Amino acid sequence: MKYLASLNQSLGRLLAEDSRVVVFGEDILDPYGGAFKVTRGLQEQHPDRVLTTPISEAALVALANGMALRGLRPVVEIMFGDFLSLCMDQILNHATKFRAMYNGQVTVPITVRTPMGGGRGYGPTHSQSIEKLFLGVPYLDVISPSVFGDAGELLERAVRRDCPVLFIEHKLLYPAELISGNSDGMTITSQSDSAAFPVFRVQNYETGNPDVTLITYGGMGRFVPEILRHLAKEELRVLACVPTRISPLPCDILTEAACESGRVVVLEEGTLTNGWGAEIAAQLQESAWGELKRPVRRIAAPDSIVPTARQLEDAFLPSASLVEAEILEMIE
Amino acid sequence: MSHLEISNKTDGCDAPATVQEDDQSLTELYRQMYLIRRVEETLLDLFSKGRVSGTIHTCIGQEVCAVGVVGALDKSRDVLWTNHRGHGHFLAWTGNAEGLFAEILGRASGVCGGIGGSQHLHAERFYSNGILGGAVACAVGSAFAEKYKQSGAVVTVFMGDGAMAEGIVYESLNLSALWHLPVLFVLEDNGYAQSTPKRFEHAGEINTRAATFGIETTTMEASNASEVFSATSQIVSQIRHTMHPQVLALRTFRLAPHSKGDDTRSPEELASLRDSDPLPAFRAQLIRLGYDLNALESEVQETLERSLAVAETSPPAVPFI
Amino acid sequence: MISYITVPQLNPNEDSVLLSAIVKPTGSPVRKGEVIAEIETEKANVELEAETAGYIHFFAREGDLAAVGSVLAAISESLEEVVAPPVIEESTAQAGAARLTKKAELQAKKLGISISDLTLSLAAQDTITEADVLKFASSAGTSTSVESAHDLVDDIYPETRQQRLLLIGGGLGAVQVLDALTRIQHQRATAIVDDNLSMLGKTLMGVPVLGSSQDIERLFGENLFDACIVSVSTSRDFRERMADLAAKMSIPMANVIDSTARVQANAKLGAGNVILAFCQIGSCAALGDGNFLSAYVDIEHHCTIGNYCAFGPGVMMSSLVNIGDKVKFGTGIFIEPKVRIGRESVISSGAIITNHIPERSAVKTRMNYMIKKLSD
Repeated sequence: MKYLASLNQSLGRLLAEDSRVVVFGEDILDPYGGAFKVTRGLQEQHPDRVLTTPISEAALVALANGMALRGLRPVVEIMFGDFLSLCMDQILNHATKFRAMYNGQVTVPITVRTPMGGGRGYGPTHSQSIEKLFLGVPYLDVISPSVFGDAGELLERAVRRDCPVLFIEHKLLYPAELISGNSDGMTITSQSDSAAFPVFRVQNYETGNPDVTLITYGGMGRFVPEILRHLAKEELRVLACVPTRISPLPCDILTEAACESGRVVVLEEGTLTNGWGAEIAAQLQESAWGELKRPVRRIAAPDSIVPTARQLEDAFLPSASLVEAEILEMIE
Repeated sequence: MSHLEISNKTDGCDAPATVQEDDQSLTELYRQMYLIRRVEETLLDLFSKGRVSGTIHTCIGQEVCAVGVVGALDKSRDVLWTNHRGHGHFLAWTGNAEGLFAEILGRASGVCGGIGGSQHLHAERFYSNGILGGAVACAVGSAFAEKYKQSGAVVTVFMGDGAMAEGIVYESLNLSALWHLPVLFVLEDNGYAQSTPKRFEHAGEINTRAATFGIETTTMEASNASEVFSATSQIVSQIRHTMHPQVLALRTFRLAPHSKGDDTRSPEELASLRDSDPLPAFRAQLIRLGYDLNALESEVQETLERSLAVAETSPPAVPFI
Repeated sequence: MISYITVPQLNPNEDSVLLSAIVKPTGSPVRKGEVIAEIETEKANVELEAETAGYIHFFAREGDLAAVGSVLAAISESLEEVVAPPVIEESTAQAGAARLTKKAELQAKKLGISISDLTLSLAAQDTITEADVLKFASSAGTSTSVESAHDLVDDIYPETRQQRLLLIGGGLGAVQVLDALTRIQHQRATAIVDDNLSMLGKTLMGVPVLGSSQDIERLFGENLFDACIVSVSTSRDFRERMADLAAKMSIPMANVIDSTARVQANAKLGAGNVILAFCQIGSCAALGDGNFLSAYVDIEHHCTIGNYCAFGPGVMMSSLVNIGDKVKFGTGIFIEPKVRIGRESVISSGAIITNHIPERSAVKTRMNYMIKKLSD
């Protein structure tokens, strides 16, 4: 099953099973069915609940907030994740605050879904991974499916969550095949975080301790099979730990994975400074200090803009070969 | 669509509720206005004595808007959204002076446990937030939900003239008209955005803007509560039937500062405003009609003092987890 | 001249297209701009045109899925030209030389084994693994591997078994310590480490040399010993350094005391001391950490000795002597009661010390010898 089909089918199921679910976003009228086609076919099936909207990102999230407070379960699509900046106030000062400011008397069960990421040559304002700006916002879950597990099922769980959820998809993953069972030399298991969201463990070895722990999520997870396969040829045992809920972090699970090897690499597509890896490194230095053999290594894009020219973009965004080279260096 | 001065509009809707001069509800309107005025004055007094921390935005002078509009809503199903200057709206909706005092005094018995405070009040179907314009857009979303659930509810949202400079207000007007949602936008135009007069805030007129979205606007002076009540009743009834939003633009004025200490108006201007204060005018009108308001006012004062006493002695707020 | 036609990306979400129809079959002449095939995406059918004139040759069949960017067809100028799809060069290993995995490389570096030795001896293999390197290393020695350093008695009798010792240093001092251990019932040596890498894989009096001082932590982690003892007698600094290293890794240091030595009542001993045959530690005397006492060293009652001192055979002191850290003694030395000898001093053989010696002093003795050759 492909990532995109999985998401599309889950939206269909949600609409069919729960009359409170409403889906809206720009350009989702069928037959066009949305910029990335995630909602295709749904507007035809449920014309009163799948709505195409004007280009008003801030108001879209506000609509969702107003709906959620009055008992609906809105799923709003923001066409490109880069445009989340336009929604920041409604996420930060409305969606995630109502329940707390009103002392727990209301809930705001909204899901804002959006595709992030580069690799398509769309340029600096259409290729970013700015979910990092929302990490750590109190009372906000940030969830990002990768190629492991069932992306659609994750979306269903996100929509059923009673708190606001930012659901981060990745453009390059839409045509990708989801990986479920063990394949290609990888052993895949999963653990549950404190809200029962899966954290996938992908190993290129059967038993014993890994040499290095690679922590990543979302779009970058597509490099895991390749990295594990190449490093297996070097007899390097790699444990890839791939959470699906990336904020709040599954600290206990990450600590355990870090201690197994004592060498940690965190991989993200967003820019380096103050990113996802920075928080993981801070938490691990508190929880795993004695077990770490060296400082946590963060791999991310440089602190600049995503260039448009193909070869520049390829060099800018982290790649599998970059990660492999960093890991080989770290094993000295 | 045009913008209209107050007039009789009876086409295609229920018989509008009108207030007769000898109706019981006149004294009720006065009682609510008086309660709001006394609560706001008490709060300002508590601040000046250092017994409360933070800030408040009082609606002294604008009680007609709160009481006239809210009185015409159906409290069993309608929804109300407001902004940072929401005490009047809150009291008109709930009458809960004790909960309001406790909230502002940081008590656990406050309507939001002392966590939200003055700008973030909540009650059944009542929501507010301190970010200008945000509530306007949320209100449109609530209206969608109510229409979807076929509850027959109308969603009312209060905004000030200052908010008419926020972009999201225009996104909201557009969506409400495009999707035919039951929203009543109430614009309380008091001529000032914080310390800045309107002429430095807005190009053109603000109460004609909704017309470009196909939304009818009614403009009136907010000097007479029963007039505002009648107008609102008509408009709300139309919205319920047509499923289309409308704007009610009320010309009013603030007698007190924006919050505290940010009043840059001249003493002459303030004196002239006080001369047009609707509350004493209403009082005089009722006395001329033969009503004795002493008992009513004493009762309000007593309720207020009791509420304050209870609030001040109740346990402090606890953290929200 | 052959020009290639690759599969275009028509839709950002699709990585492959269907070759739904071949309009001009392989071998047909085509003009520039002529439609040669139809490809189908999820959204639409698209006609593929010839970009030049020539003869068309398809590399896929009708109904096949083709990946975006792959070569679908080629147009050659003449029919006789042999057309084959371009070969994408896979990175291939260098011909001939065997390749080491990263782990193998690291292990070889650690063991001081040259990579050219390895690749020469294992030339038949494409890839040399870590296991290959370890096998290569141990085959240089005579016998024991890591596994045989584990004894079954350790698992079966964990409470009553002997204390297992790691000897740090495999030279002359180790032989003395191992000799003492033959007469000690509650301790046995299970492993030796020495920074001379040529000793790796060999045994000393039956005890295997398993690595260098770099491997101490790892061997402890593999539960091959319970405590360690520095069996190098010559360098006081080395003894201290190894003691610090062990402390950092939380590895205990044992005392090795010959069965003929006497530790009297109320004497106090630190850790990591080697006490060889016929020594005495008198009543209420105190010996610090890491000292090395050769045979017949007498520390009388109420003396206090510091840490990391080295004593040659026959050093005798009377009561209440105080010796600082890292003092080195030759053989046959006498020390009068209550003398204090300051830290890091060196006392030559045959000295009779009657005065206090300050810190960092060298005490030399003077003897008159006449050396004459013996007559026949």
